[in-house]
Amino acid sequence: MTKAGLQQLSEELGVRAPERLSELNEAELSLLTEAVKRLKKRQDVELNSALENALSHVPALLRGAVRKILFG
Amino acid sequence: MSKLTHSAEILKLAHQIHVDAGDLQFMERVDTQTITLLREHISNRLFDRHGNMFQRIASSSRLLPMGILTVIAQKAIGPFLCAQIAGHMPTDRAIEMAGRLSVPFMADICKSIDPRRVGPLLQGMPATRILEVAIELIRRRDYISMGRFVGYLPDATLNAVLNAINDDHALLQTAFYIENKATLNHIIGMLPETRIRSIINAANTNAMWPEALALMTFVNQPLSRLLGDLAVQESDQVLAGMVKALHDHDLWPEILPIVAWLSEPSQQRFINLPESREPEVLARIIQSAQALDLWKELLPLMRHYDAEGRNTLTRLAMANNQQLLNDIIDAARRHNLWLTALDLVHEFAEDHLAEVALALARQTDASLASFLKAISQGKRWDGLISLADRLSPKTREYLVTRGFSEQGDFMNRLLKAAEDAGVWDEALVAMTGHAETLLTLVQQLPENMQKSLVDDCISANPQLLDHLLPLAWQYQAWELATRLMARSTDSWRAQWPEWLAALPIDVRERVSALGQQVGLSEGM
Repeated sequence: MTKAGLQQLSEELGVRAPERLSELNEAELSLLTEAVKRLKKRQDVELNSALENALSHVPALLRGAVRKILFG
Repeated sequence: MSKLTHSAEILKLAHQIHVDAGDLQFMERVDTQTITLLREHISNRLFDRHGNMFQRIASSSRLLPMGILTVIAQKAIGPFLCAQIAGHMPTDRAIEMAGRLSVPFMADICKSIDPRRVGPLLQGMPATRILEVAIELIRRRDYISMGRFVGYLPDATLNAVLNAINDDHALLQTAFYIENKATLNHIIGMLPETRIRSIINAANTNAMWPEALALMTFVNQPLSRLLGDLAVQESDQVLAGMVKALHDHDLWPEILPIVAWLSEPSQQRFINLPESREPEVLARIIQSAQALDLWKELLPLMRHYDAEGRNTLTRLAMANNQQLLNDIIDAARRHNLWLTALDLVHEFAEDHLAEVALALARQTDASLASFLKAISQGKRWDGLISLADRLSPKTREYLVTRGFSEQGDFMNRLLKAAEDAGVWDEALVAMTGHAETLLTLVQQLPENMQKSLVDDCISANPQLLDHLLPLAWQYQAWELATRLMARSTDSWRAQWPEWLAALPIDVRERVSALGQQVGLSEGM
């Protein structure tokens, strides 16, 4: 039977987590899942802030074109 | 080196997901490949989940002057995102940008970048730039990032880096974390011998033997042999450090196969180092061989032991009861290392030799034949028989009359095996130099086997009579003597009076009587 922890890790990875990780207990799997979550969260936070900040460094003349590429 | 590779993978995972390596201790229960796969999944996830946005950011870079891009990268985007965007950027722009970003910022990017995604960038970046970043990573002791990149650098760049970095400790650390171990063959192949020696010494002075030894297990066999041979040429003090590290880190299972393919002089030196012969070290080596079935590697090494090493081995064999002997015999059988095993047990105490004989008796008919063939091909009858010589008559009697019969008529099977292997004649000829052993063995054979011996072998090799009969008379083995005399040839019979005349008076009378029983008379 698939462990709930392995399922959660798979969801965070977006692919099926390696089967051999099922040897780990729920707490251990949770530690890995939380670490991946933190990385993704960091990526999200940094990406949002980067887009805001980046545009402020783009010369006014080009800002519209860059915004169009970035956000369609 | 499984154990070390495993540790390296856990450290790389900890580095990637920003947790303390100590918190991932539980990953020691997971196999190395699974950890590598997990790292790849995490890297892919971070690269792909905002792939479209990263692609758009990378595309917009075309619109902006490089100066502004550099400012945006360093002030707005940051190294973590730059690491993921880099793989989406046009290579020429990425190379140009990498040349303008600050070295510390580039080193920060290295921490999160997946080198698999930026191959063309690494191939195209000027060596001087990569060297600057490498120096910064070494300054930070970020050997994991270094190791992740090394395998993706072009030769010219790699050469420049290897020449410029004279810190052998850093090189060793980096090599330990190299992602694609196969590239180590190429990299180490680029190093001059003097540099390799310097790195070996650095391993000793920096207590980095586990990492250095791991390298030997990562590279191909010829290179591993070269590294091992160079290491074994170092001073006693360096080698003592190596053996201590092997023992303290319990690396024998990984290293034994490597020692097995070193040159013979290296093996001799290594195996006879005082530290290698310490009883607890030797015991651990043997345990490793037993646990991981490394006898094929260990047995040929053991024949290099000097007297002291053999003594230690004998003591261990005694302490280890039957198991060690059984293992040696079993390894000899499975890997056709009979001669090596024979060398090894040669100096064992008598009761152990008897144990060896009994263990041999438990082998299948095919194994017995292969054992005798090996003795024959190696012309080692003397070695085998001198073992029998060392047994007391009492032990021989026990083996032939009781011990071997408990193993299912062993002597009969041995005779059959000798016949199957076609080695009977030469075995007997070889044994004639060992009179007492031969005679007591023959005498103790059951009736049917004595008959078989005389009928099949003496008839085929009449010259054996010249050796056997005087012995039979001397030791008053009258039944055997009668049987042999009955099989004697005409030419032997013609010399009967001379044989008789040469005998001491007290024996002559009895032998003469025996002769008469089989149709020999003094006046012939």
